[in-house]
Amino acid sequence: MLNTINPVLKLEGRQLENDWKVVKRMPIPGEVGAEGKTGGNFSVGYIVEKAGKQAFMKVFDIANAFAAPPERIAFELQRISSAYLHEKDLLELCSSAKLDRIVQVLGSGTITDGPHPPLFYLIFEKADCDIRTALGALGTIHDAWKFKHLHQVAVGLSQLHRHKVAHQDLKPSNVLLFEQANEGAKIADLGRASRIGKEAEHDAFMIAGDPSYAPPEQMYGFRAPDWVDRREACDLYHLGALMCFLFSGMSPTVGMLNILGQGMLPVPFGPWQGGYQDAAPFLTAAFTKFMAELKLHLPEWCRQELFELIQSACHPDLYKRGDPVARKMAGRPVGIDRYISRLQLLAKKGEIQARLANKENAKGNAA
Amino acid sequence: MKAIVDSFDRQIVPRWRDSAHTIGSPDLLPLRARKGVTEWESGIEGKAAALAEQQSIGVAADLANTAILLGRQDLLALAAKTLLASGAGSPEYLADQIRKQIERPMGEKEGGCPGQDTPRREEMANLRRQLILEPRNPVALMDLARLQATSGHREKAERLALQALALAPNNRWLLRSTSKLLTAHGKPDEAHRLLTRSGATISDPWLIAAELATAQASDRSPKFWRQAQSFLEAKAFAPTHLSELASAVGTFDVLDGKIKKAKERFHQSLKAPTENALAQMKWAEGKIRNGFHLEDLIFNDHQAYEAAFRTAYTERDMEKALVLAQEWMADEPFAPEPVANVTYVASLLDDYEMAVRSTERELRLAASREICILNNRVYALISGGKAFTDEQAGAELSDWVSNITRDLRENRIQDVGDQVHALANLGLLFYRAGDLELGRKLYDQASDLTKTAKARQTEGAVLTYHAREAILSKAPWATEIMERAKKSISASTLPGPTFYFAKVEALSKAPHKAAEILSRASAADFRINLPKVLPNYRVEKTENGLILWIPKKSK
Repeated sequence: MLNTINPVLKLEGRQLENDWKVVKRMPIPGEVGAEGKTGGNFSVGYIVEKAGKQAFMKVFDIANAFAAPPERIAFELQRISSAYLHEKDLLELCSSAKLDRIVQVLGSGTITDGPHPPLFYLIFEKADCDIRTALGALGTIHDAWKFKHLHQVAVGLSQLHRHKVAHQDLKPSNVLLFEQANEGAKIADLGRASRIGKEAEHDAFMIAGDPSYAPPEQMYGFRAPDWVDRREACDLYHLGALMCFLFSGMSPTVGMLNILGQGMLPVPFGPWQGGYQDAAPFLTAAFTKFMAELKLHLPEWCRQELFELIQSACHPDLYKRGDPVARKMAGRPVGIDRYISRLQLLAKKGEIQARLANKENAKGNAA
Repeated sequence: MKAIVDSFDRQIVPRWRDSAHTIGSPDLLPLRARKGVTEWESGIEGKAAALAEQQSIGVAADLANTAILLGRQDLLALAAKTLLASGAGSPEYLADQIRKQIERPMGEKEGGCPGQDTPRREEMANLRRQLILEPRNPVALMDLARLQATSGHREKAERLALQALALAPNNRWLLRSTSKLLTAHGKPDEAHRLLTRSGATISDPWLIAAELATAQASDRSPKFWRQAQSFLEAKAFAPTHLSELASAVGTFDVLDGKIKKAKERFHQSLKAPTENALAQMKWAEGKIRNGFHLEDLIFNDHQAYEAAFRTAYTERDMEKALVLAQEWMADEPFAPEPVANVTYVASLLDDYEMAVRSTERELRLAASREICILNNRVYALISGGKAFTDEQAGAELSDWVSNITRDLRENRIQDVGDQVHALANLGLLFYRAGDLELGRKLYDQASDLTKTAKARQTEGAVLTYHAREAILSKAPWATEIMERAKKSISASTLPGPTFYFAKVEALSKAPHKAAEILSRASAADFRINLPKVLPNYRVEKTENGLILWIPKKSK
């Protein structure tokens, strides 16, 4: 429980190991100016500084455990420390494997000095903002910019998948931009990530990430037995949802369920208690209706290509999701590499389109 | 005139509405609730707080998506302030969706009768576009099949329905809809085969109900009778899932003369009835001679067009019955039963223009037209006089005469009721053409045919229409026919013939008022208000549907 006497909120000015100094606490939900870091219900954000360079620190709120009923305190302590260790391990794996499209961890440790239980923290490179700021800008220049960043996100997912890690919570606020450092987009928050051979508590969650962007099989309570179908297809859906969001502002999950209507909205979001198999034909119909509407609003110069990318990445039938050619190969991969190359191509095409448009404008102005 | 509403056999064949009007209906509900808890965190409060700080459209869009999903209209309004502000530059599609959501939150459907919302051609074009985008879309294929069936393209409709079923062979809605389509197209045996072969049927009471109904329609023995009994005895599922099954079993019991058992089953079907079960109950009411007085239930179910029609018809409120039959026809535009009933009731009201108009679709059909509907149409064309004043109608009548005489001669018409109707129409034609003797002969032939077991109920109707023609043509035998009609009608309980007989009786007393009596305006004069014994039943509308509270039997 976050309150003013909670030690996790009182770290401003503290000196940490490796010369990091805590500068400022980020607002917590409910406070004026809260930044709304979603998903981290037991962490608090801080800005830290070292040698003039700022970074972001995530402190796990161990005091949260002590707010639990006495018989659950031990369990909660274990849960928080497991979450910390799980994320730390994953981030260290990313660092050691030099996964450059994942936000880098700069440090980690435990704050033990003080009249409070040990506090775990992770320090990350600090981004300029998240990709939500890109929404709404129109024109081919911006389209090219969006494709460039989507390509970088797809590369990030592919890097994770190569190391048997699936992110599971990719959403607009978890794509951070490092424009000043000229490093483009990186994926943040591995707090809900899954890794083959290393179980985490949230692996058992039906919806590990934000339900607004969750694939339909999760919404309707279906867990595919195979890793690729369960985890990598989910990440691909999130990538498609991100494309959809950047070009229309809508999540395909919300768009699809909205068309389907209250009568088939799954519990706990609606009254329908049926399973994924029963809903599947209706989901396909609703998704197709949504895509037909969406298509009319996609940029004309890349309408068909972008439509096909979103349609295949977000197909409500998880067994049909992904690149159709790749899905026929051994192991039935979702074919994320094919999305990478197509997004890269669209980014390049977008740049050319933008240059042509600029030339036309210049001609028009001269005339 | 022949009425399907008076037909002795009504099977509880599934309803088939388009997908948009099916979602939310009981036959899509799962048999058992999904197990397991869905853990989730939307972070919506955090998103709202982020918007307060940043005021960016991206953050507002993120919040709007979550607010729509969670039905948080307050936070959607907050996001809308940023997204819909002038010059905000929000994506057009998102802005449109937000405006719609503010007007009508997620899932709240617009009212209206199914099938009447969008013009059919536009609806077809939309579905075709969707099928180009995703050809493996069983729901769109089924919706298109329904539109094709409505337009009379039977083969196309059946092909599309089977394609849909191939994509999702165990889906309850697809199986039930296809079985309805095939039955409506006069292929109940194919519908039955489809259901018996599906692996999903044995464990699903909705499918077993359809299997029983199609078995009955095709004169076969049901395959899952024992399973049906065991589901009902064990009350294996929630009452709503057993409603149509109990009704289907009850229907078999009625026809087997097991009235006590039938009553028990129909009681069970009314615990959480579907509108189809209500219509079946309405049909059974007369047979088991123990009214369930379903008016409140029917009134509360906004899709119970057929049941409401049957109620109005039974009460001989033909004006209301016609309106309800038209609504039923809009709900099931591909099915012959509602069309036949519209033409029938319109003719009872002497509104022949309406009767003819409602059969236009049937006329356009290339093949396998419903003989009953065509006979009703011909009756209306002759009775209304159009066959003698309109060249096209005259040609149509001439075609009909040559076809029907050939069919009668070669014994091609299987149903005795249809044979009776055809002969009576010929009798009517000769009366109107001035050949009273021949007219009488043909009517007498029709009357003779009604002596057979399957057509006994129609005797009163044949004699009533004969009496009308005899009176109008001032035939010397008019009084004799009228007496015979009176005798026959008094033994009958069918509302339609009784209603029309009252008209003809008035006509016999005042033949000079023929134009007034034989018009729609006179309907109220011939409505018989039946005494109602209100039972001590209570209907409660709950989230899960209607609940009928039946008083305990006093010992």
